[in-house]
Amino acid sequence: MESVDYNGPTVTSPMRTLGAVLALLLAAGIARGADDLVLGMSAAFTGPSRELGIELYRGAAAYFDAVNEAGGIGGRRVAIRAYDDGYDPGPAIENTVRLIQEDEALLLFSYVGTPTVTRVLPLLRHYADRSIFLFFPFTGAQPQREPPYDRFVLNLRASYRQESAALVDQFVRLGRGRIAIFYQADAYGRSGWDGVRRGLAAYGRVPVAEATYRRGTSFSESFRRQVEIIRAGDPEAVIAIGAYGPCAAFVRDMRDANLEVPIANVSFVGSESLLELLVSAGATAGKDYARRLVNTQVVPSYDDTALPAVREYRALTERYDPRPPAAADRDYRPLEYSYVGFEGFLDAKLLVEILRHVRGRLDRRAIAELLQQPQRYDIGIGEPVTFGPDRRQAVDHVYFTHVVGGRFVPLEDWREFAP
Amino acid sequence: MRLTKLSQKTLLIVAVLFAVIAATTSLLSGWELKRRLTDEYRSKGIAIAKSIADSAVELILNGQAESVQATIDQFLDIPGVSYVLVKNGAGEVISHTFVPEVPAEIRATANEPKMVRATEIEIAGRGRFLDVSAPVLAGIAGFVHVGMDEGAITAVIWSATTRLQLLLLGIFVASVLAASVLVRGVAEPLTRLAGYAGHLAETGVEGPVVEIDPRLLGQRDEVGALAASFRHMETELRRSAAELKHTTAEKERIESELRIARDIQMSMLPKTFPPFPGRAELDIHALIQPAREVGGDFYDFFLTGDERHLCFAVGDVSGKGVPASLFMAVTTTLLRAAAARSAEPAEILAKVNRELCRDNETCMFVTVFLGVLDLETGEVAYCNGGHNPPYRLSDGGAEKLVNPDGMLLGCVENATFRSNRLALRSGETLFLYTDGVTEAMDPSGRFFSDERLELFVGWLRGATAQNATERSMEEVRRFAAGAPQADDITLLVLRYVRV
Repeated sequence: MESVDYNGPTVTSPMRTLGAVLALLLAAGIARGADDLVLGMSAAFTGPSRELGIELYRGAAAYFDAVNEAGGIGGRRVAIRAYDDGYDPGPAIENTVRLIQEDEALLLFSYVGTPTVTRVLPLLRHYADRSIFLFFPFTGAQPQREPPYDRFVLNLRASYRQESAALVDQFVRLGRGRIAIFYQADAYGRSGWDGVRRGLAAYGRVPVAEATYRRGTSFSESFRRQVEIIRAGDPEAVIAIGAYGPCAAFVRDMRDANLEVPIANVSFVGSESLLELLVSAGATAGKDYARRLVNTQVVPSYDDTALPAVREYRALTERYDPRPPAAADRDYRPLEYSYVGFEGFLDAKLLVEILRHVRGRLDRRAIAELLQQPQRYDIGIGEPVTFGPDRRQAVDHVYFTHVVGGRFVPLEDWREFAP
Repeated sequence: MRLTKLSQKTLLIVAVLFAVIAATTSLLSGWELKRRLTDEYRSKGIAIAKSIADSAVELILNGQAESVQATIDQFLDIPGVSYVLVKNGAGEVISHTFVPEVPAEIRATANEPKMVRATEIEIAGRGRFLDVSAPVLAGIAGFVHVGMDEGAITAVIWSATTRLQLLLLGIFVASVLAASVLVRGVAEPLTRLAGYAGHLAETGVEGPVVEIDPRLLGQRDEVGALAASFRHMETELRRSAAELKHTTAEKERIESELRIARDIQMSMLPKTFPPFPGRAELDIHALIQPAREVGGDFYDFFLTGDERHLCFAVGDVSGKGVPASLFMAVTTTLLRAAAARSAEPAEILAKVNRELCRDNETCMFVTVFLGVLDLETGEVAYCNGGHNPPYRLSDGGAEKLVNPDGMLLGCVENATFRSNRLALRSGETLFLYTDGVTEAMDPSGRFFSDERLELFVGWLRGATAQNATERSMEEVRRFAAGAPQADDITLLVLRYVRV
């Protein structure tokens, strides 16, 4: 596995080449000083979920570039040490041990995935005396929001339960109470499944059908069996808890089987990647696979330029256009903007805010002390974010989006999804 | 590589042996593996189910489905574990690892016991599983199901058996190579030996010496011994062949000498007929047919000094071959010598007898009929020294000259001989012969016999001497009908014609 440090801004072309050379030089010596604020990141940079890890990284990097260019935090530069875990719990654990023991990371940052994070949590408990925190994992699973692990983690985003419950509420309200679940057969899928189940239970309902798929299944495979299981439940809506490849394939096969009920995906799916697959498959098949899709997001739309954070995200991303981490697949084409990238950007922005509020020497213990106190920040998303020792999640808002003109945009009018 | 027969046999034996070994080891190891793996899977499944049931109590009670899921997912990496399913206290499935859905066979399980239980179940389209269920908090908090794939056992057995077979195949190939090298080591010298023997048989012992490979002779084993024996055999064969050749040459030399001896012997007998042209009163003819190259029979006739008397004789020396012929030569010489001094047959024979008995250590003897014919009167004085009595052929028929019978010559020195006389009338014939005629045998072993001869010679009356001998010889030949001739056959016919 390859180690990657993020070292300072990489300015836009034509200075980009020079910047890369400088970055290498810096990586070789100067910037690797003990003074760096090393953020340890283990995420999927390769494999079927690589978009999530790479875009999350790029969003955060855009903000850190700007911070470093402006002199860092208290004069110290921010560097992301990024390792690839391929969305696999085993490597995620190994990476974490390495980040804590060898790299002496200040904190862990923007991990990706429920099965990975769920398995890393006991490690944080093990290193409790080192006060190592995990900031803003890209997962809405429950374990890091509940005892005993909530005290080692700070979340930015709403939970899958909240996303699922919000979807259930909307569909029931629309008269689509017969809800089926399509989910990934692991902790992430189970988390969403649990959210849907709990949401339905509030209405005295249960899912009418449920089908799973194996993590890592690719878009090219058939999901007809799952479609048939779902069809047997005669659902009025389907909530999918999965990764973009399999979820896109599921949507494709549902529509190919003439099942036109609304299909909802949650934030983790990676909306832009999902849409990209569906648009390209639709173009081949001569169909519009993007119809009647609802995706929940846990950050505002990056098209909502009324929000200061969106404007900043767009400006910094355009300015620095961070490269994928070195551990990523070489053939990856970065997205221009994405919900995932925006979430990474907000992760970085809130982290920097927090770190700036640390008094005295910025180290793990000082961060731990700060997190003992209730905090309130404005990161420019239209509402303040709050957290504290009893609230380990900064944002509760769930945003609904649908596809208009080839992009996921905020969904204001639900009438198109009415029965 | 062309395989020798020995190699092929060895290869076949090795192959059969390995097939048997492969089959038995596969069966045994497969059976043993299945037993052990089934036990292992059972205990493994029980251990996993219990461990999940114990460790996930709080997670299950708290309804933390994704944590339960994360817990059970870890166990899927363990070989043989096919699925894990967790139900809560209400009997609802809160986590499972099935894709795309929980099979009906598993959903249907109800009324679970409050203890760990392992049951074999068949899931349609998935195969057979050992379903281990363990209660969580005595079943109050739920149940954990762990499915151990029995198909994996079969797969493991197959893979192990395949590896075993590959190993055996490797050993087999190595063994075949080793065996072929060994067999070649043994068979190749044998093949060369066989080639040597074949070559020897082809060229024969007369041909050029076949060189045997010195490496074969140098081998200190059975092959070496065999090679040495072969060479010894060849040497012996060559020696015997040479001896045989020598012996044959010797025999041929002797036979050629015997032929010369016969020529000499024959030259001693008067062979020109008619012997006395111009002596019309004398019609004499003789034939001799020796049984071997040199016989013991003889005949002789000659005119005495006064030209008035014809001395004639037929004799038979005991034994055959060179000694007999020599004895015969001596006898004829003595007869001629004695006949020159006396015209009295008894005197002649007595004299010859005395001479023959002298120094006759080998105790050979001879029978002789001797007669002296007075050509003017037809009177014949004769003496029979132990010989077959001749026949007198006259108008009265064939008359045997039986009396008196004298002693054969060469045995008793003082034996006495007595002459007899008879008077031949013109046209009468004397027929002299040896026992080769009467004792000639036909193929069935019967003798020609005196009776047959007596009957036959009766028909010869009036025939010329030559006609009589030739017809008689022909008759004997016809009688013998190809049967081998045991003794010399001699005929002498004398026909007296008064001038």
